[in-house]
Amino acid sequence: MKNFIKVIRQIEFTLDNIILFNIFLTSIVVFLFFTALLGLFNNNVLYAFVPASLTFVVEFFLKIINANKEKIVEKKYDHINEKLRTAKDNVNLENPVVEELQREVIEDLKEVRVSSFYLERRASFKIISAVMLCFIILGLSMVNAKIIGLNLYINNNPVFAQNNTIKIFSNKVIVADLNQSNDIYGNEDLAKLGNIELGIRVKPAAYEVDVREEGEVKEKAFDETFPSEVYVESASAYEENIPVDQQELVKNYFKKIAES
Amino acid sequence: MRNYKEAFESLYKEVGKVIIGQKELIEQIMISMICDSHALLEGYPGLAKTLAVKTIAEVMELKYSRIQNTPDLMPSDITGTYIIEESGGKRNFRFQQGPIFANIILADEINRATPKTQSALLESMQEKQVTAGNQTFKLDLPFFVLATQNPIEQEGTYPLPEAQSDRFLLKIKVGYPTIEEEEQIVDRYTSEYGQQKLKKMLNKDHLIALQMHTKQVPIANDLKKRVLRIINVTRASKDLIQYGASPRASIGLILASKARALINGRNHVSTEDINDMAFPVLRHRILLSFEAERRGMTTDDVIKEILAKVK
Repeated sequence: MKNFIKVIRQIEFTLDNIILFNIFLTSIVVFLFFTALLGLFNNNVLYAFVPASLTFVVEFFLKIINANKEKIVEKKYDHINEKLRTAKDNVNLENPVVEELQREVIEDLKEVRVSSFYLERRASFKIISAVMLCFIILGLSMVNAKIIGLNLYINNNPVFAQNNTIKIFSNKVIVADLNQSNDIYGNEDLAKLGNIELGIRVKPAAYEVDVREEGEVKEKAFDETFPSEVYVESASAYEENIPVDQQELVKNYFKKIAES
Repeated sequence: MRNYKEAFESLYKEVGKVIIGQKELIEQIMISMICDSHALLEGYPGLAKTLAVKTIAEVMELKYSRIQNTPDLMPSDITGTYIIEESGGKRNFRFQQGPIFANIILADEINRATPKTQSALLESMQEKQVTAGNQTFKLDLPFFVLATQNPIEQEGTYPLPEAQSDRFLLKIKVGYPTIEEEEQIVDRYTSEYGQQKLKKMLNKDHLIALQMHTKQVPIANDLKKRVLRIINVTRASKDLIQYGASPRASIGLILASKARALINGRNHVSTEDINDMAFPVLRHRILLSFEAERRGMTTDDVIKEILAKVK
């Protein structure tokens, strides 16, 4: 019986590993797919973790926690169909029939090959998909491709317009206002120097200022003079003003005390 | 387990010397026997029901008795009665055992007996003991009752109530033989080699050991749950079934499936066992609704539908 329990644990452990590997692959593909999609719509790519994590949790629950591992083995190997499940479910029974069944199952399991549970085609497809998605994301970043239709829709939609999270600066460039209300520096796209407003455009992908788009820098003459009210004043120190006769009186007082 | 299969194969072979075909009948009688239960045989006259039971008793080295049920049969005709016996000038009451004191009882045409007599028989089947006066007599084990019913002659019969037919583990339908089988039957019983000497294959001890092993056959949890779902569906399908099966049916179906697995040399119950045994276990335990009868469905059709529904 102890041997049989070991065998069952070994089967479950091996299958869990294989299934876990497949779940990881699926989650990676989902993550990359959503990364590409969110990047294309100019959203924070970190949101791609949400569907990927969701996929992982759901698949983990369905394929590892809730799945019957024995059924998976039986599906592949018809000659142990229903035997393995029965032996596992009755592992605590001790009678000659169950013991014979356990011995038979252990013998039959020798024909089971772990490699048969690796779904090569599916795993290859997932790996290739992941690689291709990586290239797609790289390509999209390089050409800075964006679909602004969605942003336009969001801006024009009164529901989203209230939040005003995304603004369109021009037909080509999009600037996002992040955390507008709490930003101690004010609007990210607007800076003030004295009375002059400077428009700063930040490229969302490359974070490099395109000098060609900015044009020539204009010279500015600073002709302001200081106002007449402005003057320099030295700091005054505190001095004690005690009359001389009072000084003498105090001095004598202390002298007499010292003599007595 | 392989040995059991071989043993049963040779038993079928031996019975086959007398009974041609009817393998399902023989198998199901054996199943009810190794489940330590009783079976109800239903079929038209002349289909070798009685002969099959008699042959099995002969092959199994068991004490066999036959009760021909008639409307005037009294309970004491079955169970036995006290008779006055004179020995050494003294008269004493002595219990004269009835035909029920055997290992295999063939209760022929049980639906011809009156409900009172049927009750006496069914009580003995359940309790495996007979009470006469203030004395209780234990019946010899193994104890099987194989009752036959004739489905065509309904006049002057007392059909078994559902509650009583529930005590039979299986209701075995005996069908007509095929042309080839019938040809063999005709050849065998119209020639001088008609009668064959039968070898003893199993004895009481073997049978009791088999009964113990049947209960030891394991069943997977999901198959057990499927059996329970099947029984539950018979109660829930109000459109087809007026009265569903009792928990006794759940026990019976699992036990019969275990016995079938054992007979087929397997040490575990399979889906095939459950599907196969659902018909004899359930057919006398469900009462079809008017709608099902209007649609011309039989109990077997309804069971088939349920089995297809419950995967």
